[in-house]
Amino acid sequence: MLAHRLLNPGMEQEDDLSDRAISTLSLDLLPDWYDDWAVADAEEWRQLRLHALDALAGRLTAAGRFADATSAALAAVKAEPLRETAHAALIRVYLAEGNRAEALTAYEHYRELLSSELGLEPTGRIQALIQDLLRP
Amino acid sequence: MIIRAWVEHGSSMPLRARIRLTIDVGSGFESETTLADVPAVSAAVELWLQDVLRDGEPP
Repeated sequence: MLAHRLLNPGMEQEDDLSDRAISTLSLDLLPDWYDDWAVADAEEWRQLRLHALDALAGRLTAAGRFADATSAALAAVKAEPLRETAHAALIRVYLAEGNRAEALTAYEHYRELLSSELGLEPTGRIQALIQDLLRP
Repeated sequence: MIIRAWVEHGSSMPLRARIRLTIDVGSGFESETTLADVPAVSAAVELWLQDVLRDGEPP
């Protein structure tokens, strides 16, 4: 399965880094089905695909495919806006392609969202990504 | 009620609990919120259970 292959380094297939992979991982399972059995399976798939999207964004970034990496990271952010690793993946893409301003904007967006929703600050891990951008 | 919880390691309050509510599972989810501390999540569950009990009382 695509998601499992992406989460196990060395197992991915050639097509696993394609646009189709991003589309597949962006979809909820049976989105309009609300029977108990469907909801449980959908939640399990949701968790799996979130991790897989993070991994896919990282692989695409390493491959220099920054547009696709951005798509994968944005899909992860959209699926779970308060999940820090998704925002970190997006920031890493921007930094890898040299877009420092966009990286900082992405961080500020996450920081404001976290503050408004939960009254919290981002962790030191994600702050470390943009630390150099904040120095005068 | 469906609660999906995860941990953001390194945060001052690492718990994240996304709570999705529905009165009728066949109609979809009516509300969604995210909480970051155990007492708040527990209070939400307690309120929901009280609603379930109240809605189940005979007229």
